[in-house]
This record gives sequence, C-alpha cells and structure tokens, in this order.
Amino acid sequence: MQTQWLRRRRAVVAIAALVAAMIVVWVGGVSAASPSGHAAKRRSMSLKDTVSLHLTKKNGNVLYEKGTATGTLPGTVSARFVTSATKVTGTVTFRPYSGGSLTVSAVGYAQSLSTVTRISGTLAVRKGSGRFKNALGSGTFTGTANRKTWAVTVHATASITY
Amino acid sequence: MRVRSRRHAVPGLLAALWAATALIATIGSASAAEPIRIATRFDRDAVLGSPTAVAVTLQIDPRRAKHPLNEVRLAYPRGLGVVSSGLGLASCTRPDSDFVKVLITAPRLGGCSPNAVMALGTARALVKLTTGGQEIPEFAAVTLLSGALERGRLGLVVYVDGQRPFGAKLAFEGEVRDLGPPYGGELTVRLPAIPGIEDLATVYVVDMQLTLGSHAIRYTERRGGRRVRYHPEGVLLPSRCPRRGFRFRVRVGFVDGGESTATSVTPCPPAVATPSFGR
Repeated sequence: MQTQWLRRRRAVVAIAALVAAMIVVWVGGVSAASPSGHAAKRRSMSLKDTVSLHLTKKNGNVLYEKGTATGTLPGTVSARFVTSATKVTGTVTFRPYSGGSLTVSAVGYAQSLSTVTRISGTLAVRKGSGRFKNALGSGTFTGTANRKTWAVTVHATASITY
Repeated sequence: MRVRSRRHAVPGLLAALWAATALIATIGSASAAEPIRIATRFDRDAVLGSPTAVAVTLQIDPRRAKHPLNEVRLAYPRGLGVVSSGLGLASCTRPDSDFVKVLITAPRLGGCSPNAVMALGTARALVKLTTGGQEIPEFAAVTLLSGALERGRLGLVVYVDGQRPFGAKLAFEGEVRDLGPPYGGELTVRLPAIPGIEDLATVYVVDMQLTLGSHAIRYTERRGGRRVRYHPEGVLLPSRCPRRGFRFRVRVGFVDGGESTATSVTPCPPAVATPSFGR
C-alpha cells in the first residue's frame, strides 16, 4: 500500500517536473523569438513635411536654428548646421506635438548663388526617442536658404521605420 | 629598478626633445628661406564669436622667386565663418573668354554686382621689359568677388585694376575648396600669363594685400522700396580659439612648376570686447 502511494507520488513529481520543464522551454522559446516578434511589429511611416527655420545663433561657421514643421509630423524643430565651401552638414531634431523625437543628419548642397539660395540634399535618421526610439530611415529635401538672414525653408520627404 | 629606468629615460627624453627642437628649428629656417611671406590679422577690436575683417598680406621676394606666379592658394582656419558671413550675396559671372584673355576692357567690377565683393586690396608688381631689362613697378587695386557655382564649388573672380603707370585691367578666376584640419577651406586663384605681352614683358607680383570683409565694402539692398547701402557682416570668428591661434597657409605656384609655402598664426582676440572708455 505504501509502495503504491510512493509510486503515485513519484509519478506526480515527474509530471510536475515535466510540466515545469515544458513551461521553461516555452517561455525561453518565446523570449528568444521576441526580437523577431518586435521586428515584425516595426511600423513604417512616409513623412512629408515643410520645415521653416530661423537663425538663433552663429558661431564661426556653425549656424544654430529653430522653427516649426508642418505636414505628417507637425511640431517644433531645432538644427545645428556646419557651413563649408562646398556643402552644409548638420543635425536636425524634430519634436512632433504628438510626442517623441527624431534626430536626422542632413547634407545639403547649394544649387544657386544669390541672397536666397536654392538648396537640396539628403537626410538619414540617426536616432529617436519615445515612440521613435530605434527609428531608422532616410530621405531627401529641397528648399531655400536666405544667406543674409539664414532663414531656411525646406520640403523634406522621408521613409522611416520605428 | 624603476628609478634606474627613469634615469635612463631622462637622457633619452632630453635627446628626443633636442632632436624635436632641432627639427622645428630646421623647418623654421626652411620657411625663412622661402621666397614668400604671409602675415594675417583681424580687426584691432575683433572679439571671439563676432564678425571681423581678415587682412592677408603676401610678399614675394623677387630676388628669390626667379619666375612669375601662376597660382595662389590661401588656406584659412577651420571654424572661421567665411560662407556663413554676409559676404558674396551675389555671384559675378563672366564669360570664360575673359579669363583666357586676362587683359579685359570692362566697367568697374567688370559690370558685376557690388554685392558679390568679398575682399578689397592692393597689389604691386614689377613689369620687367624684355628689351632693355628695365623694371617698372605697377600699382593696382584688387577686388575679390564671389563667382559662379560650378560642380558644387563656390567660384571666385579677381579683378586687378591697374592704377599707374600702365592701368591695365585684368580678370582671373578661382574657387573655394574644403580643406582638412587644421584648415577649413582654401581660396585658390589662378594667374596665367597675360596673352599678347609675353614677348614684351614679364609681370612679377611682389606683394599683395587683401582684406576679406573689408570695412570699405558696401552692399545695396531694397528696404521699404528704397535702395540702401550697408556694410556686410564680415568673417565670423568662432567663440572658442583653436589651439595655438588661427593658422593660415599660403601656397604659391610658379610658372616653372615650382611651389612655395608660408604659414602664419593670428593670435586669438579676446572672448569679450574690452571696454572702450568712451571711444
């Protein structure tokens, strides 16, 4: 009688261990699979924004600007541009009213030489925060820069995933 | 053991220092032997973080430089706001034939907008006549203008307006390029021989003084329907000084293919304006 009870107890323990092992394996499997699960959940977005910036500070060949964006991601924008003889490089941070932020690198080239100069270039998403954390993407822009006031207006299009 | 190795290290260090000093002295004396010299300075009241004029003086020793110049390249320090200045708001576009002929007949500034002027200065040349070997000094006013944008490069046009005794008007072209640290960019001007006078005379530029963002530059703009003259903002200094000051470099090419380099360091202006005491 006692032997039978012992056998049943061993069987219960074995089943419990098996169930526990299965749970561990299942949980482990899910966690291992989770990155691809997240990757599958990445969203994509096509941005089409008009950015208007005004000069806030000049420091040698560096221009600091602030302004607003209207379009897909309306919000405030701040930028730091380094001017050189052949191009303008810089970082532009979008802070949409809807939350989060996107920081892009931009390289622009003058297309004409007059007080109001036509510019065009490319941009690449460098980093983001909030809902745009881990954002990736690239795009292009065209617009004008007033070389007297350094007021800049550009139309940017970009595709991002986040 | 450590003490002994340090004792051994000290003479080694001294030897290395001596070698470095000797090397620097050699480079310095080699520079002194160059036929060219450059001096650069900012406005007397220049302040870090503010616009200034940049005066560049280039001297060429005609006894050491056996051949005339055919190119001048001026490298300016990184961080200096040449493009971000208020200079060169218009572009001076001239037909290519002007730069081939060199000797031109044109109105003041070659008919270009005064808003294209980036620098004003003077030059002195020795005109050596082929027959008789007579050397006649010629004085000229020099104007550097922003030129057309070509292949993404900012073009330059230089007008030399001879004053006396010949009074020739010359046009040269060049461009601004980006340059690696410690420089930010380089102004290049090509100075080909003047066609038609090669058999008569050779022109040796002996000194040139050019002020980028000169206070004598006047631009015009429309304000409230009226044309207003104003002084454009000069070259912007960064708010921090580069280590060991602002380094400039000039490289000149001679018609025989030779090259000569000279450098200059402009000391840092103060970070804030000194009180003027009612000046």
